[in-house]
Amino acid sequence: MGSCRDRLSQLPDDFLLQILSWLPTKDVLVTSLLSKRWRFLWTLVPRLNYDLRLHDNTYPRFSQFVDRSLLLHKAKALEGLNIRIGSRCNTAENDVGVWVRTAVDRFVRELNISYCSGEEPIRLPRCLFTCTTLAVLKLENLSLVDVSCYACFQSVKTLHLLDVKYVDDQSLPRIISTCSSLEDLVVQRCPGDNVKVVTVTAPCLKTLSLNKSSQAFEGDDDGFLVDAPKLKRLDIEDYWGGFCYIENMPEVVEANVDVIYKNTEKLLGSLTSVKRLKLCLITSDAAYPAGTVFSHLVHLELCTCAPRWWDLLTRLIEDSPKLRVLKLRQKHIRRAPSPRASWKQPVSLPKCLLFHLETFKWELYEGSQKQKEVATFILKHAIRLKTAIISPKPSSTLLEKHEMLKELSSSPRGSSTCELLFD
Amino acid sequence: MSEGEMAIIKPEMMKSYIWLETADGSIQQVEQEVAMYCPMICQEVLQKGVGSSKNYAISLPQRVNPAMLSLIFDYCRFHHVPGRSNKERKIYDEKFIRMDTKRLCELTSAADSLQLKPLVDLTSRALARIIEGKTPEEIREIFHLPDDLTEEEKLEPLKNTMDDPRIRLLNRLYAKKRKELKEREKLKSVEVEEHVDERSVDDLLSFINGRDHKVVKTSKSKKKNKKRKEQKNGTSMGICETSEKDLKHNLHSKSRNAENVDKTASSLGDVSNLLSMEDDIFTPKTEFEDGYIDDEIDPALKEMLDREVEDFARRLNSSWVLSIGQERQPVHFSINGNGATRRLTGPAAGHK
Repeated sequence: MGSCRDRLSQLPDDFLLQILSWLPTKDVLVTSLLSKRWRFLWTLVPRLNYDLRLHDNTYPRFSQFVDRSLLLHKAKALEGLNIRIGSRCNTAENDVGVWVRTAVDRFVRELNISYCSGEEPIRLPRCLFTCTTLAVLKLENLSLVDVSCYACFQSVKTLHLLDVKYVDDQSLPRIISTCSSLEDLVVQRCPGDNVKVVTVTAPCLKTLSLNKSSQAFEGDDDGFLVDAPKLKRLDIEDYWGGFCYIENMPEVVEANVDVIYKNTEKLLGSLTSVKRLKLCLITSDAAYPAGTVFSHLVHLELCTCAPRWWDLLTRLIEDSPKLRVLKLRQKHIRRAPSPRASWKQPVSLPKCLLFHLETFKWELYEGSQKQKEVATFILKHAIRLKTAIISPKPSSTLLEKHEMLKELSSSPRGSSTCELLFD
Repeated sequence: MSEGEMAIIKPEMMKSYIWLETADGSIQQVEQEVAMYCPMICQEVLQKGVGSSKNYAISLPQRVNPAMLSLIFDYCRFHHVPGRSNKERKIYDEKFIRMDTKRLCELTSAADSLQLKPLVDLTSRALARIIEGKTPEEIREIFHLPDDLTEEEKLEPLKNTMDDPRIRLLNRLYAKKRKELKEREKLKSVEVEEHVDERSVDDLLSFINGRDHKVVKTSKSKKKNKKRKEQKNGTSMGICETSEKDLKHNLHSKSRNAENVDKTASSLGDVSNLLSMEDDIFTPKTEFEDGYIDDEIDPALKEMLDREVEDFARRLNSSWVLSIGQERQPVHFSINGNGATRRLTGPAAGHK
């Protein structure tokens, strides 16, 4: 293979088109100037990616580029259309309407439209809602106010709605109910979206993510209702709302719950089959119903920002007999000053400590009284512990770190094979 | 499995190997579980039963050479182990993909022919990253692509020349030109002399442009940087680029107004006269243009642009000239150049 030979000659056209699919369409058009082989190759590229930033944020030039390249594009079916408009444009709505209509005409499979957040959302044409070829739909800061009842997303498997505005509480459930094959749903609420309670009823849903955008919300009585019996992965992050009730999820594998609800019994209570759990709650008593056992829980990560996090930890350790990995970390700024209450150690030694716990990690350790108690307790009683990694807060002084290390290494260790790493 | 059991390795549990033959005839062996990570090989083994010994080695597609094969197996060896975290795999992939472009292309080709999807995705993304943001020259250089496009093919509108300042300059010039022509047309009284059919105006246009080609050459040999000449050339080019219809109309009125115009069929060379007339019509306008243009573009850039505009015109015009068919009757005008100029600068001067 001499150095003068075309290095890409061995790759078939289809493959080159695959490579081009990863590129923004602006760069794809550059390739039309490469050689005879490449001259019209770009017209068949299956995915078109447009980003306003690549055109110096000048909207007229951008829209002209999109118009012309869409016109010249010849592929019979559009695999994907990505449009990202990051700054405010007054005429964007009309243009986006035309582009979406074009995509629907070309049997688009994946549509990803993002309009800059914080601005008045732009409305989508109705033809989108009856697009039967659509499999992936991702919308950001758009308005679905015009969706009427005949929406039909029968092929949609992935639906991401970020900062989308609806007509009322019923819009979203209606859209979701038409997505008979929906497997992946992400809903990010924003203030002013006309929704109080987000209801998700999806029989095939496998992954669900619910959260709120970083803007400030009014009121604290909004919530989520979820009925997705086949769900495997759940992510909820809500620093504003009031509740989240979910129906039982027997197949759930991984859950990430980071909420400020006063009562999460109807949430955690349905996640009893979970294997991996990341938790940050403000309550410990009302975290889950008494008597619940997380019989499959193997990996637990707990945030230590809540006022009485150690009580929640105690409950969880007692109720997770198969726990193998325990990780503690302060994810948020402490919500309230730590009360003076003492930590009530578990009455009987939890099963997981006796039989299963192998890894114990603590990040941003401060060496406070409670933290010390918990750490020494675990080190003492976790007989099968193999690794314990305790990382102090980076802002601690060398002296403080030295103290922590001294205390930890001198505490009795139940497991003879345990390796304590202080880093 | 407790640790005790794992310590004893039974002989029957020793690894079995798959034999593979590359297109050049060399045979390699690789652990079975590593080879099975590749679906194509897996299929060959399961469906056809080959690969178990040296004599029945699986023959691989032509695009896979031995060096790439061992690279691919390194990849499979790492990834077929189920216990690795996504982060570990990502880190490995990023290190793995760091190689010179030539090898990357070979690897991509091999992965594609073996249909190893994760590696195909990894390599195609890497190649896309290389292409991203580069000019055609740079990309051609990196991949040793042949530079076999003709000049005119390279200059086709749309593409990245949409952002080109030259195009914008031309469009601006043309727009002004059109406006001025329309105004002049209104002032003159137009008498319909003879019906000029569309086709002949077409030819007119193309020959004007063809002539322009020559005009450019001559002007180049004179002082190239004279603004006027350049504006003129730019203008003519603007005409070539945009709506023919308007042009035809303007030229039509122009031709009627020039009294010395007659249509004679002759060789290409005589077109020159018409062009000079046309050029002279536009020359007086340049003073207006100067005012507008100078405000927007700085002089150094403008000079460079002017030169490029000339170049561009020449290329475009050559393609126009080439597209003229044999059957068309070329229409030519013989004019007393001076006379025309004098006549036309009169009213034109009124616009100043």
